[in-house]
Amino acid sequence: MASSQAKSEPMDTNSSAEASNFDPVNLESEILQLCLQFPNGVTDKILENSFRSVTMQQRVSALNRLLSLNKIDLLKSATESGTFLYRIRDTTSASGSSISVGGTTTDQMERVVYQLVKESGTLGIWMRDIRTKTKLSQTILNKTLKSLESKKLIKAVKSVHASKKKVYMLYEMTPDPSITGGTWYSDHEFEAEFVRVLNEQCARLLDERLEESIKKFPNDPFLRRTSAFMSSNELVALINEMGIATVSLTVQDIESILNTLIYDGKIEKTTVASTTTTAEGGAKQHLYRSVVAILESSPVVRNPCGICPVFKDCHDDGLITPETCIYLNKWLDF
Amino acid sequence: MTTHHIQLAFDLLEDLFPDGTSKEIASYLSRKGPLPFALLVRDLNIPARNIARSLAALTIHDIVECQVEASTKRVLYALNLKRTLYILHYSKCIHCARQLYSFDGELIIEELLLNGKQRMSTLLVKVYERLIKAGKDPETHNLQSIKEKFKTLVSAQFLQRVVADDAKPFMATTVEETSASSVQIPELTPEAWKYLVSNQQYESNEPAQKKVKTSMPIFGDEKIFWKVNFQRFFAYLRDEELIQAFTNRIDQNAGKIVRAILRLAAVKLDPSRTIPISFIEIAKTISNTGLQLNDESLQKYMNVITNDVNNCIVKIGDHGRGTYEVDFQKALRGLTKAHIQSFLKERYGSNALRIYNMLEERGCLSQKQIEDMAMINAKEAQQYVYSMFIDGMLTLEELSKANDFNPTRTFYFFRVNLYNGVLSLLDHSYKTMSNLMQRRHFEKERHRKLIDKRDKVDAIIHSLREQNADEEQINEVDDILSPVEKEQIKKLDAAFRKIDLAQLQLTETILLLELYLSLSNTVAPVQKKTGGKAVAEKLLETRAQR
Repeated sequence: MASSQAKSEPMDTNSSAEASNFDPVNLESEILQLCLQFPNGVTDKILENSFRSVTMQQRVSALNRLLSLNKIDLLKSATESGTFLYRIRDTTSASGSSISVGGTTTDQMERVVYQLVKESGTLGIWMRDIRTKTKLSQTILNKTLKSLESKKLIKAVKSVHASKKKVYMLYEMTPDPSITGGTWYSDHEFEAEFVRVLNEQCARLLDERLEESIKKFPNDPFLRRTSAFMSSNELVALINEMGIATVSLTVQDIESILNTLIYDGKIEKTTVASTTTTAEGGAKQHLYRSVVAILESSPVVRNPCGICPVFKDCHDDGLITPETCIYLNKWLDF
Repeated sequence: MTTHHIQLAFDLLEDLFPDGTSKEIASYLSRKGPLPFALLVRDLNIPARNIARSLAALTIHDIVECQVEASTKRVLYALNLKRTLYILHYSKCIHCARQLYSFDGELIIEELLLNGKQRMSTLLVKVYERLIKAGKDPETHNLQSIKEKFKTLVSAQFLQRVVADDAKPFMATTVEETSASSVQIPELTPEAWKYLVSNQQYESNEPAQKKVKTSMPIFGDEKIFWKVNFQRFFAYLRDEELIQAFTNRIDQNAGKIVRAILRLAAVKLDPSRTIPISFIEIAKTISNTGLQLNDESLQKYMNVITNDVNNCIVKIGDHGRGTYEVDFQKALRGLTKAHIQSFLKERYGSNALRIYNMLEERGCLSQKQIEDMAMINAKEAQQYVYSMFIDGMLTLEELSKANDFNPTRTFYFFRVNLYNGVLSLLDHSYKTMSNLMQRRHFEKERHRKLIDKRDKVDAIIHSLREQNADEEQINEVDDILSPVEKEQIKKLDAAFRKIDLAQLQLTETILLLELYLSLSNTVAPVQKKTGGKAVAEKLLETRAQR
């Protein structure tokens, strides 16, 4: 806005004179101003009405100049068929200005493709989608994308889930977490070690809390149970304090780690309505508590047959029998 | 009904009846179904007398059942596979009896288990003789006390009455005792009693030859037999498991409270649930057992208990300051889940357990979703999922987008099926049990000479000690065994002990899994079977079910 204001300032004083002598630059700037007033587009009719003193020829040539300068867009009206709309082109976004800086030699197709990529925002758009939308052939599209990439206007980002798939987005955009994988992926690789360390830390914290609660309330099982609970917010704060992770983790992240601990059978979860107004401000809070397993180990696995890798091949007579089993030998110390 | 199931049954029979006849009969019956006696004689190469004897023994134990064929009115003998597997639990039952009813009770149960069914009179005499031989004081362990123990066993429903019905002369019908009718302990006629008492005095004073041959009096319970009520023992063992689980999860006191609840709930109207028990009753029982818990802390405990072990103890009302009920279906489900989880963890790794639990909570997931949610890298996750699938813990469901099941256009979902998992684990346990028994047998045969030698030496030493020989002689005898042999014997003993212990613990698991299957409402999922192999399998199933 600033640039166009600056430009129209000196013109403003002139146009207020309503001079009969026609100034083409004047006309253009006036048209521009009109467009600015109607950001949704100015119809031909409105232009006619505003500039009665100007002939259609002059108006048309002014419009053409503005179009070639890429200051306005020519659009077909959706409401009244057959009429055209002239819309101010957004010159404030840096990318837009860079194109206009690039000059009039920018390819029309590149512009279209560029528009699509911009619209896709942080998610980016897949090549096939561009093709369906623009109906361009593959080779032309490839050329377009390559030239845009060389101009450093768009970039290709590899998705972490499907390594062959590339999405295009504007150069300056940071890719959406769903493509890069989020906190657990670094360089398109799953960080198993990181997850494991976090897993152990959370388990340890909860175990410590359980021991504390046992010591505090040896006689009261109910209080023991309730005091052993820790909320996910607490855990997030503690983990971030410990500084294991280079980035600070959100409650969401920690909850996914805690979910894996639940599936491991080491902790259990309850949900309560949150009474305090926390920073997250959620309506319910999740509480976690370390638990002891029901069964320490099943008798099925206390003998070698339970974990024998060749269990299915073991028969009465055959190469593998209980009588000569090496695992049984070791177990019985023979 | 799997191979391993049947194989284990035969191994157990061989153990209990060491002559091979019973095993042969059993295997033949299981292959051919119910058969009349004549066919057995014709097809097996065993003299008819032996067959008859074996059949009689097996029938008394209920391992072989008599059926009357409707059309020809012939008596058919059918193998009862389930009952054969109860042999596994004999030791546990005897141990329970010992714990609850001391030595007398233990002997009663042992005698009954070894003999199938017996009259009370014969039982009393036998137990008494064994007590005397074991060196117990005949004053404290006289016939009267044994009879009292017998009465308590019957009233606790550990023993069942069997009546020989005149209408069906060769079939014994078990009398189902409900809580309404109290069991009639047969009263022995006075002369029978005198006979027994006098006999006992004779036994202690005079050697056998001088015994006056009196004619056997009528005991008064000629037609009434007794046998062990296995279901009651199983219920007791299941209760023990549940109590252990609660002790592990909460603490000792919780275990005691649960024990009190289960004792109160001994009368069951419905096998899967207990009658409602009020808080006041629990409090009274607790104070009787001597556990010092005031009402408040008991309330707190009940609060914590109801939240644990799959919510099997539920609060169903507030009258009587809280009414509670134990849901055995849920309890067994929780316990079997724990066994399966432990099995998966040890066999495949803790990551596999994570995947299993995740699938259980979420219902069905595709391979991709599993990888994402479990935070395990893709290759490992695939490995775990497929090995669990092979083992029968997970089932695969295909959902096709198109009409044809084109692999690129169908979703493949994995699901957890607890019923299947339990079946597969049970099969695994049966095979393990057979393996252990086989190994034990093998080791015994291999070291037979050594074991015989050791037994002989022990016998000699024992007799020497009784005659109060001096230490030198004993040491001489002891030296018959060289130190190397002694080492070997020690190792052998340790090995046998290990195997026995493993077997004993395994019976716990087997019992739990079988109880769960019998109580579970789910029907085995129907699997599409096609092809010759499947037809053969189906035949085997129907044959075994008969």
